[in-house]
Amino acid sequence: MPLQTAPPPLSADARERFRRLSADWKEKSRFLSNTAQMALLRPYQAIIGMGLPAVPLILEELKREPDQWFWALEAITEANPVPPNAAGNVRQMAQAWIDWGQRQGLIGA
Amino acid sequence: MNASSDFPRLTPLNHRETSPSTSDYNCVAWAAGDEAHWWQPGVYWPADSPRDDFGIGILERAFAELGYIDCQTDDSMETSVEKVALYGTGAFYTHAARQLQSGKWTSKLGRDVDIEHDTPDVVAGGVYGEVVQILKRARD
Repeated sequence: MPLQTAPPPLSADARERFRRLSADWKEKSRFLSNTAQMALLRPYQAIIGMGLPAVPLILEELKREPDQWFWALEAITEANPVPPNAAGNVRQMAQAWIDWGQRQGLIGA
Repeated sequence: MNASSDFPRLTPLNHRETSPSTSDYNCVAWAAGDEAHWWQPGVYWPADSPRDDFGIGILERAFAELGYIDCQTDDSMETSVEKVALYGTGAFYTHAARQLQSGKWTSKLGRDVDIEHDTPDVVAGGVYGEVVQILKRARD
């Protein structure tokens, strides 16, 4: 399902806020395996709360380091481009989202 | 790794790191012998599971699907038997650990390292809460 609205241009403040929140989330979720617990942490919820402007930042982060960003991406975009045979494979799930983001024009190739 | 509020019972003498950190798989996958997936209900799970069920019951059903049966909280070593320990805190399952043939246990700590530890209790008492259940099946 494509995005219906292109995210607004990213401000430096949004990038810095995302960087701070994602670093905080990675530290707080370091030892967690339950995806719901990870997603309910405050910094992760704050990133979801950033809405569409966070999507390109999450996708760039996925390119840099595959991680459990899929919950946030689904929550914000209501899309799920992961094919069934890639489910659970973190690197393949990340690539599916990156490909989707490129098709949407949200991130560069 | 040192004892902290996350692992108050962990000491240098009761565990050792056995592999580097990775986000490719999580503790549930590791306990099930899978290093290729991050197990999550409704996404990648061995039993039918709704995407919004993250309680200890869904974790128990996953291992039941793999042939494990309940053995209460008996974490003793039994020849030809493989055991897994399930952990929970509040509404969530938090962790799973697997017993090795040596009698020691192995855990993947979130996206962090794998460790070998003396007993299931060693990684309890902090971020994982307590051991809720031990399951067992015949070892291959």
